[in-house]
Amino acid sequence: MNQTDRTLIKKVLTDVAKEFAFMFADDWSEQQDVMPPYINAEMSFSGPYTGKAIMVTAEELCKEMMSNVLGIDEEETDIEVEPKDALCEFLNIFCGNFLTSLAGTEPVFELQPPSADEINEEQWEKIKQDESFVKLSLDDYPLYISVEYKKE
Amino acid sequence: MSINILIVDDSSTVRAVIEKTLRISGIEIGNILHAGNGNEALEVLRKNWVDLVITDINMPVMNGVELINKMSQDELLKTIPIAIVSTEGSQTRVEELKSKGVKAYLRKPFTPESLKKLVIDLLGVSEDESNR
Repeated sequence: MNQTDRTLIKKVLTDVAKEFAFMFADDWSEQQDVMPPYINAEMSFSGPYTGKAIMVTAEELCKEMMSNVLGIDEEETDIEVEPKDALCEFLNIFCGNFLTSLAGTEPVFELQPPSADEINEEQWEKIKQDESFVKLSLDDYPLYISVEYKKE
Repeated sequence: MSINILIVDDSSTVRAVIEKTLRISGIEIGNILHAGNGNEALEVLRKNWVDLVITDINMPVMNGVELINKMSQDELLKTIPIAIVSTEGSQTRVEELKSKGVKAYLRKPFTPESLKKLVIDLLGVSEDESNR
């Protein structure tokens, strides 16, 4: 991933986080860490560019995101929404906005619905060291993002 | 008169956000029905009176484009106004969907005010009436 892509990812993510989840993105710090469980969300897309977008973070961030988006306390239990669904939707919105920023508003992209799964600590540590991920802090939680694509 | 709205999105988060926004909008809302994809939406539409369909585009099983196509081919369903709320950024696709009867389009992330305005504009309710 080149520097232009990294800059674009940070910009789009910062905008979407603010507008969708009322959260603020900042630079990531090596010391910053959170407790498991960790969640990996990913989705693929095709069109003028074909590829995959991945977001990895802690479940704690997903919970905070969900409560921000829905305007509820984390303890409220009458809302039938899984925290990881909030991360999936965040990824979905990020991906759509990233592709528009990359290719403009003329091309049509097919976005596959995102999915999310828990990952173990070993996988978390591996991603943390992976240079292909853009690393950010979202309301003091680490968030790792990768977008791999090729031009068709 | 209260209005019934069907929200079609595979994300339960988005369905909950849209429902909550509509409930506190001041618009007189009756039933808010949910569907996770186009197929489920058609089942809901066969069994319930719906005044407005708010749908996403990218969904599993049956996506929003297929749902709109099915509705436009059905004598009863083609009269129901459809609004798109999606991450879709392609103007080409939006124009194509408008030619198939889609009345409004709102891009995610959206503000509560923009969603309220969309419903008011589509259903012809004035702002004052919506707050009555």
